[in-house]
Amino acid sequence: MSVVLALGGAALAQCTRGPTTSEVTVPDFVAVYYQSFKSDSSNDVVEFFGGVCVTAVGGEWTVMAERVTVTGLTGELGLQAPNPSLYLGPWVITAGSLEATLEELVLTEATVSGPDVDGGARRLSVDLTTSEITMSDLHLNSVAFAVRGTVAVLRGESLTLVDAGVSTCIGMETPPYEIVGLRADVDLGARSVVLEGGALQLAGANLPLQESITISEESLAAFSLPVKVQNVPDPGRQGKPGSGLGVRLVGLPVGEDVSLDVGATGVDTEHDTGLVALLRTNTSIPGSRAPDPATTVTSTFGLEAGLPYLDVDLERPLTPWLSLSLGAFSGAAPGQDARHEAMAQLTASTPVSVINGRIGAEVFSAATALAPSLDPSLTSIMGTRIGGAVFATARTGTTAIGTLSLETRA
Amino acid sequence: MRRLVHHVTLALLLTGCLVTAGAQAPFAALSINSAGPQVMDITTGITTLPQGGSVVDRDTGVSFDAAHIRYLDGSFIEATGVTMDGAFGSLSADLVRIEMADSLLTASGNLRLHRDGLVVTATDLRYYALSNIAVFDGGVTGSEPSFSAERVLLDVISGDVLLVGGYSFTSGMFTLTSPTEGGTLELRLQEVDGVLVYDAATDVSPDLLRRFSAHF
Repeated sequence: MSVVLALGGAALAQCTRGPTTSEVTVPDFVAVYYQSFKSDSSNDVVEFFGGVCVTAVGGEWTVMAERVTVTGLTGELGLQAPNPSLYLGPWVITAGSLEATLEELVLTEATVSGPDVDGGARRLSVDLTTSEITMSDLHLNSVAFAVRGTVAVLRGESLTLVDAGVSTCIGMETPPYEIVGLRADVDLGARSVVLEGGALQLAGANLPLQESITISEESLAAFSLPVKVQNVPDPGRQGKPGSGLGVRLVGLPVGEDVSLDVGATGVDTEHDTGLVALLRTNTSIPGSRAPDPATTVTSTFGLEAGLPYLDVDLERPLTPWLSLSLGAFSGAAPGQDARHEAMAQLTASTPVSVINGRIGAEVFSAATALAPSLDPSLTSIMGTRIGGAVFATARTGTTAIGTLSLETRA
Repeated sequence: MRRLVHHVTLALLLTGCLVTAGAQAPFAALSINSAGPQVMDITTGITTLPQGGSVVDRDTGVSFDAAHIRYLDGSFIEATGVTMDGAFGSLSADLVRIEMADSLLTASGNLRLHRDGLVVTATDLRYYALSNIAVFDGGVTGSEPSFSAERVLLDVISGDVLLVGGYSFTSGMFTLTSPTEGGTLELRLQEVDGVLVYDAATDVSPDLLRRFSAHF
């Protein structure tokens, strides 16, 4: 933002008549401030050069260039400038060329800077009547995300893109992932994007998404943005699966209580690439009779870093005070050794009104085997465990500072 | 003595006179025709035409009518209420003085020059007949084209003009204004589709600068 303001200041400094700066006005069109001027009646043009500033009569826009040619003096008035800088509200646009009429400004090979955003477009036109900016082949980076589109229209702070792409990988020529859509509506003020007809493009795959996706700073803060980028260290360069840079889209809804994580690990050049495709379920199975409690099953299974991965937990209340948990795990977190484990646990607890809490006990039995990630079939450590614990929780009533809770476990 | 003066006056009434300052120089051979009596002060040699007359310079083609004329043979002519034609165009002024030795014409008072493609008004004019340069000073304004300047130089042969100092110049839809510290603007006469127009340039051509250099 400070750069934009500095440039704006420079533009204003040159856009006044001064000791060595002359002025020319074209009624109802522009005022031009320049060092040198030459008219050519036979070709119906005038040329300003040596540092030129052109401002609209109403001050809506300003163009600065080394050389500006005004054409069509006796016909249709026009303006041409190579390598201009256009100052339009909060936007600073530099370009390879500018052509203007009384109705519009057209710039080619433009770079765009605005409030907290910058980017470029192959062609950019400004409707001088509506101040609407139409761009083709636009790419724009903000502090939150990068967007692109084959056609883009900016009205105030509202940017609409056609054949749009959005990624949080900002400033990368080819982002490792991109959410593409038929259309994107970007609110530059709120820094949010609504993408319609979207699909995830990742590692050559094209995965359809929800009909409408909203990406905003709030969704970033709440981690609801479905993209996670992780960098798993690889000490000693052992080349463990999942090491290095990984990108995954998490929580893609594929059904009721079923979501999908997809992505890849080791997408950087120094590590092996592994596919991530994990289905996550969270199922509640009702009891066979009406008062019977439901059984809860959570599971994650699929491929993690290209290797099989399974994590299942089942919890079933046996009585109001006794519940059974069964769990099974087989797989490896990125960059870690593989672990295979099964566990059963019984938990008994009962409410105690005196302490406004519960007391209880639990016992469990588990069998665990560890295997090197580079050779999961080779078990390195194996063992069983049996354990137990007692616990108590107590809560106060509501106080001025809230509710206090205490839990002890042994 | 009164009788002698009377005779001189009568003689000048009957014939035009030739005022010379040297062969071949502009304004060197002016022919003066009196519209009334001529009075010659024999102590100064200055002749006065109180009812005016007409003056013709055979070399430059300058000719003018004036309401009142004074001249000194070989030195100067001074006229008031002048309407003049010459290479520079048509000039009207309250006062015109021609210095024959310097081939210099000066004019002032309600000054107005009119020529093809150019109309100028100013406080003062100096026309250097040897170099064919006219210099206008003092609130110079022009129409056809419209301009104003502190000083304006005119090449009466080519029609090229130089605006000097603080200036403004209007051409079609443009109004050019000089930098605050002043500058120069070349107006080069062109004929486009049979119409005389001026092309303007802030970077004055070396050729024009050379021609005007003695009169900045």
